[in-house]
Amino acid sequence: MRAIAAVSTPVGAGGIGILRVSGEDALAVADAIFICAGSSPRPLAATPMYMRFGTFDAGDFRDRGYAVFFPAAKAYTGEDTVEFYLHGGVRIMRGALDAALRAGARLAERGEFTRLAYLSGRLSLADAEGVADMINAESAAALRAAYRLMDGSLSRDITALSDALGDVIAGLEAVLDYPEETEDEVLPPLKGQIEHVLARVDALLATADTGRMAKHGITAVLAGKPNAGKSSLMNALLGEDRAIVTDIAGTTRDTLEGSFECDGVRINLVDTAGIRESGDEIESEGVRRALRAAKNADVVLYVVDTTDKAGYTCPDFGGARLFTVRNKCDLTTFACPRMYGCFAVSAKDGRGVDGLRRAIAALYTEGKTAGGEVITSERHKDALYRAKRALESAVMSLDGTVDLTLVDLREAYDALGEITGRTATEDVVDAVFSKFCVGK
Amino acid sequence: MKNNKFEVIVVGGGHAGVEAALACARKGHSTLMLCLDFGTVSMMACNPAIGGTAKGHLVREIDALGGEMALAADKALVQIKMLNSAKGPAVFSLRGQEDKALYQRVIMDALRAAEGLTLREGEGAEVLVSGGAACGVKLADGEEIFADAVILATGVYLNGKVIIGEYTKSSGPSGHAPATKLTESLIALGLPVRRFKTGTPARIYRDSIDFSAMEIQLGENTDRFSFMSEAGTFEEEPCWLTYTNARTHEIIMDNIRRSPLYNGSISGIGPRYCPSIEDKIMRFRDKERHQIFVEPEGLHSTEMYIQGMSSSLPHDVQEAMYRTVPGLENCRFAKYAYAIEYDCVDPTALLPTLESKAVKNLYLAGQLNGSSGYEEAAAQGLMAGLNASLRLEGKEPLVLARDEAYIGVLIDDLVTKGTNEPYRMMTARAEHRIKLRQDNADMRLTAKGYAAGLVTEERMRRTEKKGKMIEKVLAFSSAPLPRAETEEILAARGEAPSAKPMTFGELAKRPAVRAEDVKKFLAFDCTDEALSAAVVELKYEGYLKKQEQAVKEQRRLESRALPPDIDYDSITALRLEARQKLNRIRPLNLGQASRISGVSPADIAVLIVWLSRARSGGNENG
Repeated sequence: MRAIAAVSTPVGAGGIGILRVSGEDALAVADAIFICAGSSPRPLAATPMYMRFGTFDAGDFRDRGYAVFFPAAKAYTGEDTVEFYLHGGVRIMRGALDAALRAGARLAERGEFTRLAYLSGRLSLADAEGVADMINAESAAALRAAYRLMDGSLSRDITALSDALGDVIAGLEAVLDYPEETEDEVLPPLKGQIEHVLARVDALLATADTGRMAKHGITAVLAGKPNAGKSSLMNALLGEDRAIVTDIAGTTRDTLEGSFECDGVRINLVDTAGIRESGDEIESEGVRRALRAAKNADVVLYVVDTTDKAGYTCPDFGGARLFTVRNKCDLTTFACPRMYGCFAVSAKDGRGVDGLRRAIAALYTEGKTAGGEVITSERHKDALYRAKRALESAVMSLDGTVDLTLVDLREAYDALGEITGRTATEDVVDAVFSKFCVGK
Repeated sequence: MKNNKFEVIVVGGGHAGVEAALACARKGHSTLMLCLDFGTVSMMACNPAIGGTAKGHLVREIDALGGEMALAADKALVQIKMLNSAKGPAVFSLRGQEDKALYQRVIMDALRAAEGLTLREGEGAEVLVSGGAACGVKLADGEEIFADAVILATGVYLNGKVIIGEYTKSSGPSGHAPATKLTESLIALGLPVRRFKTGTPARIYRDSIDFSAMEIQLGENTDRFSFMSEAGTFEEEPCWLTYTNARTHEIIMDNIRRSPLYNGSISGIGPRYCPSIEDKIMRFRDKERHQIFVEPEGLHSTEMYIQGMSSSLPHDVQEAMYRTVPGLENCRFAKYAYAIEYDCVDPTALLPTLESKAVKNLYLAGQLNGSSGYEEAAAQGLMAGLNASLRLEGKEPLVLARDEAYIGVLIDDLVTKGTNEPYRMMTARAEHRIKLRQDNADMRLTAKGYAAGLVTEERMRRTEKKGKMIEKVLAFSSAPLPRAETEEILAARGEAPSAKPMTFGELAKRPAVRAEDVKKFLAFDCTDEALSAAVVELKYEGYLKKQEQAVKEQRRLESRALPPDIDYDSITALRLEARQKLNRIRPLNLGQASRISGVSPADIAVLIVWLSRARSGGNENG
């Protein structure tokens, strides 16, 4: 197939820019645009996996740089690939790409290099998603989860489950086709095997919250009465002046977001309007938004003014986890960091703030993993849910008629196969690769 | 009509040949059925039974399309039962014990009654071809007979070789003469020929068996194969169950070197699905005993068929091992077990119509295509006959999809995947089996058989009537039922009581509730047949919907045609194995391509990309 080309480094001036060309005629494209240095240099094709110095001829200008030829067997895509390392100017890289296209290459689509890797069997679908997650990761936890995915550990796990289901299906079908030879000796262990797969699917699903926190961070919503110091605390947690702080109650009208990393976990903070009855229409809408944000949070930081004599009653935030934070403890005499199950902090002098940060980050590490695996992708979660429902139905129908059990098992098998790409349909594959950037 | 010119020539008079010849002749085409010996027409060369798991489905489908097997089998019954009756309606399968000789007579009567059908003894030696199309058959004696279409259904007769221990002999089954010349003609026409083997157990004299040492096996004798047969009575014969034991296994192991399969004198590939007793013992060494069914060859037959004991061991070993089995201690042999090797064609050389890709108007059916079993053969014979006749009439061929019929699965498997061993139909092969039930074969197929010109008016009207009645019951499913009565039924069937009053449909959907339980609620008359079909539809509603999704997905791939002239070698993103397989089999569409073993989902993705590029302008070079 015709070679594809794209700039793999981001747009903008940089020390180095990388142009990547992959496909059967990648070498022909390279020979047309790159002249290896030396008085009688060996051709690029003769020096696989070697970095060659030379001149890049873009037609209307030239640049000095390097080229490496990766033969199909060693290339990421599974096809002949040449990478060029040039000076990373915007105009240089655009011209270099144009030159490759003129030399016969075609502009790569989003994720097409990785798609080639998938099509050539180098990567499973889940592995390929791991590559995208690596690139998009914003915290160390997200990188660790993405690495496991890219490394194929989830794929291996899922493949093992599919294989186990495949055995069950074959066993049950044998029961149908050889009614006289089989019966009681085959059925009981099959049920155990289905339940085993179901337990494993459940364990993986239970990690979905942890996985989501790893990939997207922990969402912590600051809520409380007006003037409790929510915005001050937001600034203190972020370590920057993000929110406007005044003494006037009701300063924050809309929700405001900011994020930071703590212990390798990304924490997304959402500041909200103080919760009170108000005749002000704008403020009332702010309060509604505050309550909605709180209900979707991983944790609600319910901020109270510890000097407020009126005390407090916490509103209903749905099922969200709740940290009560007593602010302004610089104004009181007793200032132990955690009192009566609450966090005592002072947004003003910073005491207790780091402890609060750590406590939020710890929500991630207390989450569940299934032998190191966490589910980070909505797509995987959806497929696992469908597998779970089908397996539950299979366990039930096994007591009834085997013909229906097999439909359920097949459905579960197909759902699991979608994760690795074993049974994925065209649409699933397209959707996965559309999430990539060009050049990967 | 001249003696040497017909519209269709069918070579072979076995289960495939008979269906092919009857289909063509009944549709009004002058047809010659050529066979080596009238005595072998529709001979049941192995077990005295028709149907069984998945095979029972085939028989019903053959019937629904207007074929003969079910009708004949119903007339020659000595016992019939529904297998898998505890495992769900989708996998219910009828099996009938047959009177072999009577079955042959019934079929001969049907053949003789078919107008325009000529039966003749003779050995087809060569397919005559003119301009790339079959135009007749040359007999072994040199005579040439001409026709517009030729259907080959030669069974296991091509270069048949019988093997018993150290002794081999060129022969067809049961000592009938083999056909020795046709293979060369097939090779010359470019058809890939290979060698398979199969086997059959011994026949034992009934009066030498002690049945008191065995368990009796009776049928239910309520159902019939054909949708047109009326339930009646017939004289039943029991079958008998006994087992092998350690002593049997010891004798086989001691003599395994004398088995042709293990000493190298059989080179053909045998079926995994009805293995010889020595195969079973070599493969499942830890199994202490194997089941042996003793079945009559016919009503009051002097010979009994020993199912589960097929073998190619020498006579003296057979005698010793059979006599270790309880009830067979003093058995006398009427016929010894033997293995037979034969030439067959790689079915991937065929189109889904069973026409050969190499030669136009040449159709192949039955064991010649690498299948095993009477029912598999008959199904192919029927489809080859229908398609040959439709060709003569200038009409569209009839190809059944995998979600329409087991026959569709059978033929698609053969022509797409090919087979490395004699192919047996199994429910496991049908991914849409919830839809492909034996109870609804008529609803699925009779209209197609009618459109193809084979199904009679009478059968079509009857099927329509049943269809309307099923619709009526389904429409009744929302009718509310009196609570006291539904609770009574639920309790009697061990079902949990219902929290609220139930509708007809809700009651029928409960797993343990049967058609006869709900019959009294119907506000109109309905046949038991239509009611039980409707109840199954109701029970399976949710699952059928699920399968409909899968069917749609498959249809979508099926609808994307692959141009016949693709050079798969030029699509380098395909893996090498996929390129080779695709080039050889040349699938008609993406759906067929996706089922070729060695073509992965990733290869299909490559083809999808290739197709969309080829469509969007063709400025690609590969």
